Amino acid sequence: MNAQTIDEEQGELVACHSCDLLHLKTRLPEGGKAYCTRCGELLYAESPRAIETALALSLSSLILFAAAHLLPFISIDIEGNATTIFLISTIETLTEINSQLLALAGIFLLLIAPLIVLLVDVVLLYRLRFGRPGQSAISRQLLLIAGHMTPWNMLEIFLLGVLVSIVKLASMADITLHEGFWAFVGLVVINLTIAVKIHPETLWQALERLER
Amino acid sequence: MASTGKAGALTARNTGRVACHVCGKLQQWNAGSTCSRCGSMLHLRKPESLQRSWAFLLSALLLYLPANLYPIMTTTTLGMPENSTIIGGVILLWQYGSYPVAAVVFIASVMIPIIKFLVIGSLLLLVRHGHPGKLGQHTRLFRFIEYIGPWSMIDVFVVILLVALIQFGGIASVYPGPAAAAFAGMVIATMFSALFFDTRLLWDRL
Repeated sequence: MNAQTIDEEQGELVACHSCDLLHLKTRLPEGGKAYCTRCGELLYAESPRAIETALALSLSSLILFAAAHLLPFISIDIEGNATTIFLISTIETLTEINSQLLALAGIFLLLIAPLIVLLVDVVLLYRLRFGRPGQSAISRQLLLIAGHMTPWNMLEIFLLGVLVSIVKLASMADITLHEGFWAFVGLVVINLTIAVKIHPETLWQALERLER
Repeated sequence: MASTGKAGALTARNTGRVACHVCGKLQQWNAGSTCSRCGSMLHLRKPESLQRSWAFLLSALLLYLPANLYPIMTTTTLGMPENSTIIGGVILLWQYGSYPVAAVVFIASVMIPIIKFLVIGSLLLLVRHGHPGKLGQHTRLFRFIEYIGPWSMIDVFVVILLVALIQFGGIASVYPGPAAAAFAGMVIATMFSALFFDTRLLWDRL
């Protein structure tokens, strides 16, 4: 085959987004993944009931996100001086001591970006699963927003930051982890599962089916 | 426009097609048209990819200096302020015997940014002068640094948390230093630099 002869009659084509090479789409077994033959990038994946699973997971995520923010997060006790903080206390304190830039980074990375991703996921997946054909304009906007927000959803990195902080404080203070922290751990685990489970192409194809 | 008829790899571009860089939909390429699936403006390659990627990489490099030279936080114990830089924090963890954590912070805060600068910088140069036999390796390298990049944020999160946890007024309190915001800005700039880089440009030379 050369560049002049390939055409859609041979089957559905897909281009690798890392190196642009064209591939003929093939049917994958359940849970199968297709990779680019030239640069190894993941092209598309076949996960059975991907939308349903992701919808269930993102609903659980949303509940855990609320719990992580509304329940006490962590307590510290240094020689009798005890404080309990909530996740949001981090941003409050930064604002109080006039660290506006850090407060801004914190509020975006810990609250806004993950919340948008979660809300968009829940509404979008619900519409993709239960929506009526033809009503796809909002879903398309939601998918675009989710794509832009995803790189900034870095809760797992914050979790590692919490663990490093605990080690730093362990020698001088008593640390107690509360419900909010454990909800946060659950949230991170579920978020990572969703990311592995769902390839964006799967969502875009669900949207196309809704448009027909 | 359309098929160039150029002998070369069987790519979307060489056959007059374009894969939307927002949603990935493959379609016929017409300059100025929008994606049939997501409605975004179609571009054969991410627009001004090299310029934007360079601009953010250089901003990140500039921010890297204050991020490492200034204190990332100040601990005040009984009225005595004590500044600590990123590398100072790593050394302290090491001295306390927390070797694994010291290693994690060192890799995330010191090594990952340097690796990112080197990899993105060399790929930006290699777009024009690279060895065609190593493109697979280069693409994998880029995907690797794209993945590890955000992990540098650990130290910023540690500061954010310690500041909120230790606010005891006279006895002990922690305040963020100028390096904290600079470091956060540096990480965000490298992330933008990677987002704007289009690895397909590397393969276009084939």
